[in-house]
Amino acid sequence: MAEKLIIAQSIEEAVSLKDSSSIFLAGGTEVNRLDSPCQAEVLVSIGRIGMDLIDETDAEIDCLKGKKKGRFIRVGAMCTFQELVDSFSVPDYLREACLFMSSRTKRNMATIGGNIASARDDSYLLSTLIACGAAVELNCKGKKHVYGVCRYLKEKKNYPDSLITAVLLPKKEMTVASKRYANTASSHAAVTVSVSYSDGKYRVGAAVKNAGVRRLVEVEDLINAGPVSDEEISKAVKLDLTDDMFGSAKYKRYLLGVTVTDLMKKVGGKK
Amino acid sequence: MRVNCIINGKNRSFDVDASMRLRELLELNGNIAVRDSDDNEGFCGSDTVLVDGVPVYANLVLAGEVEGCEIRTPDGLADSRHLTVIQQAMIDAGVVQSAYNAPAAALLLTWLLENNPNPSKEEIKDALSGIFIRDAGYEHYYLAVKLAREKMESGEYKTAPAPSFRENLKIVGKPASKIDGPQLVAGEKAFVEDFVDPHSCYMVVLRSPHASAYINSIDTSEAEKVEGVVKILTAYNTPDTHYMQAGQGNPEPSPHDRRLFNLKVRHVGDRVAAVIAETKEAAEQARDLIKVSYEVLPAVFTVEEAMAEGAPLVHNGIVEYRSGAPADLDEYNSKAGDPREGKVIYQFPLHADIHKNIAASNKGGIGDIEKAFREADAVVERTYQTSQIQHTPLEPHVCFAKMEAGRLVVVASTQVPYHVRRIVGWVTGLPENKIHVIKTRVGGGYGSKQDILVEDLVGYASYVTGKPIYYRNTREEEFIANSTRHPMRVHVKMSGKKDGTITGIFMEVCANTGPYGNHCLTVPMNSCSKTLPLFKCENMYYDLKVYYTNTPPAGAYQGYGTPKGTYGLMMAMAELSEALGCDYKEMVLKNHVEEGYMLEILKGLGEGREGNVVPVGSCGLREAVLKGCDMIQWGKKEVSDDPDWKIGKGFAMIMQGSGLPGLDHSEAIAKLETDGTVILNSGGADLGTGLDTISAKICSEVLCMPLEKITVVSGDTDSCAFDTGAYASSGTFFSGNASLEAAKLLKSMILKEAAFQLGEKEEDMFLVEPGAVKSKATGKVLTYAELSHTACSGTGHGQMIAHGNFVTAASSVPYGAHFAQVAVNVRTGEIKVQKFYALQDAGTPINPEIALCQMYGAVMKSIGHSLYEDMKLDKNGKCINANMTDYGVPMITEAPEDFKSVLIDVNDDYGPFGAKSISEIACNGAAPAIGMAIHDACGVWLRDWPMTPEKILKGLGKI
Repeated sequence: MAEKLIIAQSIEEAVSLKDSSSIFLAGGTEVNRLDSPCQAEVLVSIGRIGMDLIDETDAEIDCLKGKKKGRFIRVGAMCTFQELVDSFSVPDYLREACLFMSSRTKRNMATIGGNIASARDDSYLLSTLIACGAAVELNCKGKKHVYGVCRYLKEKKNYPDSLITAVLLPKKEMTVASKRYANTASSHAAVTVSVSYSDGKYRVGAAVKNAGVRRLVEVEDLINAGPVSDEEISKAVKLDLTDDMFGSAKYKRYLLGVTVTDLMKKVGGKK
Repeated sequence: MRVNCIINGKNRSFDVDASMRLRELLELNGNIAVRDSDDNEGFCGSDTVLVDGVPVYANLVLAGEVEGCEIRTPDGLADSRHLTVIQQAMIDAGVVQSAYNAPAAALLLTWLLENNPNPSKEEIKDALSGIFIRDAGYEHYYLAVKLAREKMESGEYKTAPAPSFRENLKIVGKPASKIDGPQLVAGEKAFVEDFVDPHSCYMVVLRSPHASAYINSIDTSEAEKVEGVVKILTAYNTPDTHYMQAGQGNPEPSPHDRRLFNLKVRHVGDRVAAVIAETKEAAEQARDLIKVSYEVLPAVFTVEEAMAEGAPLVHNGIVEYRSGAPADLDEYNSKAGDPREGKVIYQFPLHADIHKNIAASNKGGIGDIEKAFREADAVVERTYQTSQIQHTPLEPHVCFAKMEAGRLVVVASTQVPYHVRRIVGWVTGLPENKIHVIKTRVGGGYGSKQDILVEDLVGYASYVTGKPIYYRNTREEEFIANSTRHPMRVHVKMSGKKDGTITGIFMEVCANTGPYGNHCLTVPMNSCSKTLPLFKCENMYYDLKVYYTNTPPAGAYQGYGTPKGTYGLMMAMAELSEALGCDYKEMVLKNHVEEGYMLEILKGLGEGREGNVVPVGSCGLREAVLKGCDMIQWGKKEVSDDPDWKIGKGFAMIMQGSGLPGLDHSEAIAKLETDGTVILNSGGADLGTGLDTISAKICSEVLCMPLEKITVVSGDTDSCAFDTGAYASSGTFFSGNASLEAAKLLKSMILKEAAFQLGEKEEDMFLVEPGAVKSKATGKVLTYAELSHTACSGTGHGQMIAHGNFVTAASSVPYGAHFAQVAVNVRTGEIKVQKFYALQDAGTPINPEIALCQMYGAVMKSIGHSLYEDMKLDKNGKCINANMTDYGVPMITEAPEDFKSVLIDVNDDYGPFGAKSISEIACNGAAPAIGMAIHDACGVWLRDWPMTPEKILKGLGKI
């Protein structure tokens, strides 16, 4: 239980207050929820520091495989899911992913930055953001970094005091589709899969409960090489799937296969 | 830190600490309608408020974050005497029932219409997507918005909230505002938590981490040192009194197999100790300091494990009988185990054998079942399995108790105030005149508040400490330490002829009662007694056994065992129709009972004693089947545009009861006050279903007086007369009939007194509206006010007080048929309930709009049970999804796209004004209807709950 709550008034103040005893508090749907693993003595509330604009920017992003430059839609990290649903400035695929959070009341609170930072394996947004090649803008003790989402997730622990200030979505011709499987719309997801098609290639992201969230490069290699079956895609997935209350490993693996195929049809591209 | 904000238009300033939630701050400010039903899970929406005009969950907002914010809460909308149009529309639409979330829903709809005066169905759905409604379903929320918009636009409703019944009656059978609706929707004091005295002590319970273990020792020495600790209760300082927690007629058909605290824990979550302290924090701190030494024992979790040769025994102590002890009891008891096992005491034989983990059993039947099977054209034999289901009432189990003037006062959220009094009397040793049970409004019961799960402990604790004590289950405790729906294995063998005649039915039911035997006979019995009498079949046999296991406890749940029995029988019937090559609808029409059919099967199906063999009474079953088939276009194959989605249809016949003839008992007292108004003291327990409104309407109808001149006081053991309580669908039929008896008697007293006061003949007197007596002979009119004033003037006959008492041997059985159309994705296994039509014969629906909502609510529950809900235990018996998100209750998103409830108009001979029960029966149809529709869609029979996409894929051979 937190002993201190500090309401930061600026990004700079928020970042300066962050240390090993504190965590950032954004929309509250993760940090303040029952049994949240996000616990600290000090909560640094970032609800008053803005970071809720949506505009465009040129940026160079650090990815796992080097740097990429491009034009991006820049979404402030404190934009709530519902603000994104209501926005005409963000792509449809992001709106659709935000609607995976079925509770309107919760969408009014949850933020895009908070959802990424919590890096849950049932994340509403991460598979979509991975598939579309999104990046996060970080402020780490005053120093700005722009990392691809995959790199951010992989190296997150190296930047414990960093604050996500914005999310960058590629501003280019691209189709993205996602599918979420959960017991009920309000339950945690067992499997969320996203596929994008751009520049003649598919890109695949997945969040699988108790197996993690990541880009499925092994699947991309397969499907970008030529026609493949659902079974081949299923077999190619290298996630360490488990039997749990969300379903058997076999079930999750099967879903990954058929869903990638279905989403490939949905996003168009190669036959 | 200091926080300044505006709450409902008023500037407020508070000192708050870092961890305080906005809901807690609002509670301190007196905004009691901002409630908590999920312990900060952000799921149920009871804590919904508007912050700067946006709906949020107040439990997920820290109080320190609202500096400068404008906050609106549900209780800020209006008070109960000046309701808003939206609040009134919600009452008129029938959605304000147990109503724990009604104020929050009113706030959300207010927000919606303020921002979007003409919302679409999808927009209403979106606004309500973050609020859990278990009682009334969601369908009439759309109606409430429609009514509110009509009123706002034209000053009146253009749409009737519900159909009306019985032209000859003025108020019974007509939509009318629920009498406690204003209080509930406005968010005023209503529930137990609203009546806790300031500075009361708090109680928390230490629970077992083991599914089965003996307690070697409990060391409370460190815990007792915590400042503020008042008392710690354990098995070592509480009475060695064996009892049970089921709220049933006395003597109960449930074994007395537990103490307040046992020396053997029998499930993860079982009571080990209770800490009473001056604050919750002190109680929790002390609880964490209690040291318990356990001797861990092997456990059993399924009926298959429990029945296995050499299985660990859940109970292995001394057995006693209050009556009917077997001759070999001493020999039986010579095999008893460790003294810490305690005792099992039967009020009468339940055909149990604790040495085989059998808590109760029964078997019987009619005809020659083997001959029927031998001579049949086809026989199907199938096994159906149901899962463990939690009631998830929004208001958890909660109790406040205190000593007052030498008496124990228990403020309870209960369906059975008089059973609470009796059982609290047992554990405290107090006589009933020293215990006062006050039933508040009940924020959701569904059977779980038929069990005395917390009142026994809180009452005892208050009695021994002399302190006012408040206790409230956490949501996790609701799952692990409460009653649940019994998991059952229903094995059905059914035979038939090629012409569709069913010739034989055999049901073998194995039920899992968990560690204690609450309702262990009656719930499983309902799986047979409320299903087999649907069939006009001469050869029927049943064999049921109920097993003790180490799962979380089972108990009463809306429908008792009927949803599970119905699932097994109807699915088997559909499978038999397939085997015979018959049309299922024709088979149903050929085999269902009709009015006058003598139900011989009932003889062995009493609740612990011989049942009454009676003919079928009023019965709308056939009409429900035929009408429903027309509505869903039975026989027409629907085809989706997407080849992966296959569409199918299914339906099931259903029945229930209206209380327990020969066992249930209700009383009411009607008093004519000196101004001519009436106070009706009803023993009935309104758990949100509108029973008080039923009593008031009955009184109003009989006495020709306006509803607002009648006040119902109910569920208070001091001021009201005895009633067995609200369970087994008894409310309308039993408590309603008691109110009818009281009203009729008061009417005759009024006529007699009027004749006396007017100096005329009694036979010339008759009642006229609005509350007066008129003489046929002279035309003179005497108002009730004049009449009563004179009677109480010092020279009159005194106040007119009528006592109604209702018992009966008659059965009024509600019937119905539920229809589902589902779409199944044969590629992903996903299931969508596209259409659901619930058609039910409720006799005269006294509150038609409330009745319809209860049907919607019950169907939503059973859709949840059929498709999503399942308590999952790990290998050690710990429930791993003991929260709302992972457990999987259906929300508005899961409601069928096309959802209709229809009341079949049938008048009953025995119910008050022809009324029968409405709510429990509505839990029975969804599972078989959906199961059949799934098979019709994709060819897969799913024979166990929940019917999941993964099981579809397995059935299709895809995984």
